[in-house]
Amino acid sequence: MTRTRLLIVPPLLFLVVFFVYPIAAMLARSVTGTQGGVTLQTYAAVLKEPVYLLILANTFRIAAIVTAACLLVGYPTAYFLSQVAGNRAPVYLAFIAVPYFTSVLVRTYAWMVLLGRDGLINHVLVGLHLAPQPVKLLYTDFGVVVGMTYVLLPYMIVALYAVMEGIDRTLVRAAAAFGASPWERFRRVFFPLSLPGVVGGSLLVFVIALGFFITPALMGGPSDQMIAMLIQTAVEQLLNWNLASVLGTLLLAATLIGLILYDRLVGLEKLIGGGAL
Amino acid sequence: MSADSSALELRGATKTYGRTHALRGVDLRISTGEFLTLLGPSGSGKTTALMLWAGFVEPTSGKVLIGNRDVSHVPPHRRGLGMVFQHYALFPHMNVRQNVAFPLVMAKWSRRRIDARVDDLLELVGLAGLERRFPRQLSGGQQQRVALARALAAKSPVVLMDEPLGALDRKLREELQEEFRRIHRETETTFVYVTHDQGEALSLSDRIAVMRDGSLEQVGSPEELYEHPRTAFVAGFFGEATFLNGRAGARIGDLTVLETDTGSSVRIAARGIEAGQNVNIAIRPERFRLLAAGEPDEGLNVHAARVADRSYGGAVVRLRLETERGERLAASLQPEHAHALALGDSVRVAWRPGDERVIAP
Repeated sequence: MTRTRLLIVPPLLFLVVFFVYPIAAMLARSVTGTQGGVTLQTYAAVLKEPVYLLILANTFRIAAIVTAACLLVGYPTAYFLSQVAGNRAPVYLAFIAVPYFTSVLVRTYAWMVLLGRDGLINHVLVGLHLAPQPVKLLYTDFGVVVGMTYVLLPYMIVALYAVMEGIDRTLVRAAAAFGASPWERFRRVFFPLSLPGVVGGSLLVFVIALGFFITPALMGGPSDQMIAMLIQTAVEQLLNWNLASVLGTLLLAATLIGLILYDRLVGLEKLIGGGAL
Repeated sequence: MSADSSALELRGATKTYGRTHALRGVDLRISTGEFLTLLGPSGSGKTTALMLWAGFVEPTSGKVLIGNRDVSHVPPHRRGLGMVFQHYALFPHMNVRQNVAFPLVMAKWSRRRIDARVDDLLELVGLAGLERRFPRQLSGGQQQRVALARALAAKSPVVLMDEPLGALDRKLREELQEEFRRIHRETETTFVYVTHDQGEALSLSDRIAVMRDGSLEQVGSPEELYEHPRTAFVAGFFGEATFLNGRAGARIGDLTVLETDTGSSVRIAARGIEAGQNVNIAIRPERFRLLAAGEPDEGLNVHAARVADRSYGGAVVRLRLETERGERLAASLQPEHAHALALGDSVRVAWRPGDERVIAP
């Protein structure tokens, strides 16, 4: 027993050096003044600067829109998956998961090809005379939302599917036996029982979307800055590590609050596929 | 309530899944107000029959009727039945009141009528005061009562029940059986009940339909099925029986001699049997009695046997007796007649011609 416990030491050391220490350092730096000493002045500066607040608000706005979009596309998909015969569902789930083995970067570039001025969608729109000239899709917040929705969709689907699959079919049958039409069965029984999945999937997607970097950086315009891009600017261009630390801490806090809510409402073990409903 | 009004009917109902026959051309009529039990082992087709009426299964061929209307292809939500599901299937996100009210909300009753009806129902099943509880806050027995109240809510003429007591312990089962009988009497609703428990079927039903391999084996009152089983399957399903097989011999007055395959010669009262015909009989354990030493055995069939096993069951003592020809008899005696017996004791066991039942092999 004690010997097996030794196995945990290398990964523990790894985490301390590359995860715990940097986060502690970041937290410490966020409350360090320009002349040293503990101070909240950088926080005060961030919260007083309208540009930062705007970017913060924009981050939350985009994350919210992406969450809604994922829900809109993901719910019917997960519903379909939960209704197909048990042995086929894993096959469909694999179809959904396989594209996600390629990197976010590659997939984001693929969307840039599709959405670009000279891209497939604009070719179709102009070719069918639906638009007089190519529409600006890329480098807008529409582009950012499309790209991020695509990347985050499987999280939503898996979260929804895990809950839907646990819904007892007899309950839907019972509703039918007591006179509920297919729509009433969905509205009064299936949907309310799937709500933990809706809440869980939404929180998950929202939290990941808050810290998203690659997709908004590549597909967004100059006005679609999100907090992760601001952190990069602070580090690489402004060389203001204190500012970057404060922004990072704010992002970390928002993420943690989201995860705590998720744990309260759904249970974190759902994230790693454990625990039946 | 006219006697010939049928509440439910199956006509030549057949259901196949690929090559498996779940139901093979079943004809069954259930009268209005009847308490009928579909009884059989798992895979006998009893649940399939119930699901045909509920509408969750469509017949491969044949017809499903509710109140003389062909509903073979009518979806479940337009059939207007009440149903109790195997594991209750209470809606976990609704409280007791909302669960019971669900069929009424679907039937678009007014708010006031729903409230009054739900109060009555909770009173009927003894759950008044628990309206605001959620299913997970109730015991198994209470959940079962909510399920029953919900099934009765819309005053459906027929209530289907799929092994409703299967998950409960014995004492609670007996309590709820009594409740079912009372509610059946008070509501005058047709109950169709599925179970694999013959004791439950005997104590609850007006009539029992015994099913086996997708067909009806025998339909009749509990007394008929117990006292006059037509097949070895039915005889064996309701309690114990001793089976003897043989060939009919000479007639002596009203009785026929049966020469058993094991070499015994017994007299039976069965009619319409021709000499030389193969005959199978079954004898219930309580028909046997032990003869005291020197007790006259005129007019009785007597076997000399040894006590091979003895088990005490409170009201009766069950004996396994082995005759010298190797026949095995199952007898049950009142404890005062059996208390002196030990394993290996020699006894004379007797039964009266006419106590046997001729059954199909």
